[in-house]
Amino acid sequence: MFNLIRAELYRFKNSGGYLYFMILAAIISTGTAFLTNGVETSFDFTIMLSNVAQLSYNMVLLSCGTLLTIFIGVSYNNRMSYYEIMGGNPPHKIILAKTLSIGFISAVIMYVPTAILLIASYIKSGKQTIDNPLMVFIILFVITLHTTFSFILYSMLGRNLVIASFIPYARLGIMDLIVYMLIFQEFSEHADNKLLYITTNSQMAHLLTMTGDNKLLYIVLITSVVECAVLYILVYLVYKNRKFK
Amino acid sequence: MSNIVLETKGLTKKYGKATVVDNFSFKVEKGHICGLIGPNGAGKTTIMKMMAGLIKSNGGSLELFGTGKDLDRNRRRISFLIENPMLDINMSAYKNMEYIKYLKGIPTSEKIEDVLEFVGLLDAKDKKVKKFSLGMRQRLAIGMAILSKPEILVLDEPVNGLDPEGIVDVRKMIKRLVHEEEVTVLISSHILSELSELCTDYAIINHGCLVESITAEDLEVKCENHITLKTDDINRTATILEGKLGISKYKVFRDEEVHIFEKLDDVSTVSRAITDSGLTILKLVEEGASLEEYYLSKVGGSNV
Repeated sequence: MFNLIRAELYRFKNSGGYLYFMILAAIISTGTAFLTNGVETSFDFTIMLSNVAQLSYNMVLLSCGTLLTIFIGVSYNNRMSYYEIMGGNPPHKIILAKTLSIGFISAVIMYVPTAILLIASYIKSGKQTIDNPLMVFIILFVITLHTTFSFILYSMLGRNLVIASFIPYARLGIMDLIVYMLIFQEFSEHADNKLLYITTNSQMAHLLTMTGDNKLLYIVLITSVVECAVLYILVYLVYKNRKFK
Repeated sequence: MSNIVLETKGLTKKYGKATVVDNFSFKVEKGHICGLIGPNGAGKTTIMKMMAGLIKSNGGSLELFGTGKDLDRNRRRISFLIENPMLDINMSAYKNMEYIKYLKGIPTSEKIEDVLEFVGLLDAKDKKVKKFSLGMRQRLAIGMAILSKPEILVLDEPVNGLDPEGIVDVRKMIKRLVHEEEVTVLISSHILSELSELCTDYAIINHGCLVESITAEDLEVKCENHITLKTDDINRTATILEGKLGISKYKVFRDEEVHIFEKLDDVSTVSRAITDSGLTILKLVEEGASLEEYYLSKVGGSNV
């Protein structure tokens, strides 16, 4: 397992500059959010931030996610991933090594812009508008981690560059813009005006105005674990049944 | 103790209704170089992929190092080079090697330089693989395969696309590996003349079935130029050959015909001696074949 993780990280760092492009995308994403003109009052700042942060968050998730899935897809196209199988490594170790190594690093890189924006928002607005900053911080990191893990697992399921490059768009469209949007909205101050706020507010806006209920964290955790577990089983079956070209 | 390091028993692979590999059984002994030969689509690559664990068989079994259990663990002692070289073209030759070093847990980096020198790529070690020619890529892939000092090397078309010089280089490399590192090699190639210079055993495959498994020695005997003689009494024929003609280099096949490896330029003397003894000659012909001709006679086609 240690060898697999080292090898995977080595290739992620040295092949095609994926890691560096990912860092660059995160920097650009942070910069874009801060370059947008702020407004005077703390409430407006939070509203502005919620929209900009949402944009920045989706931007980094999409750009870094695409780089991540392409990296995995390419490794099946050039069949570098086959070395892990031919080297006699059991499926569960291959899946876990890939997911935990590059998945975790990517999540950290992808989370930095959001974390910076949240901290900026908190410094500027204080408790006035962000009810539970730590919870927001944790929830968003869990979601980011969930996103990178699932991107990797979807790519391993597709085992093809073309399929891999579509994954971030499809997955973000379904999970972040529909599933999480509905979940967050349910826990925000706008729970009573579902339709209106689903259509007019971003998920980040809901999240920043949510009540301090731990239930949301559990729901996010359960959602993440369920999706990753289902994907893990499917990828495990592919590896177990040796379905490689 | 058995010397068999690789064995398949009734290995079968089906894709839908098509049977790609059908009840394929063969063995490879330790230290041997076994050539897997067959036409396009015969199932050579599929067999190798099953050995590598890339695809699952629909039947039969595979044994590595004398056991069919714990195949994954035993695969760690084998290196595979299947189809095109598996390389990360965005990394340099050295980094590709280093990736294998990490993956296989090889402790030092010193061996990388040795292997790069062995495959003739030390000068190009920092060059990105995307700038490599096909021959260089093939050599690098061989280098990556031998870095972990495997006990068995499975090579699928390792000289595919190489120029004559590259082919000779790869052949020399494989010979050196077998002699210096005592590696067992299973190799498939379309260039049968190359295989004939390397292999100690051959497995001829067609339509997914094993046509014949033969040692190089037996093949040499079968392919060596000889007079094939068939008479109505094969035992008396042998006596005449030894007694009257003083021929000792001959072989009786299936109690039907004799292959004579001497007096090839004096067929008439042989013929006269047989007829003078009152035997009837049913067949008398001078024969001999290259590996290609032998192979074609077995698979019955020209699509090598």
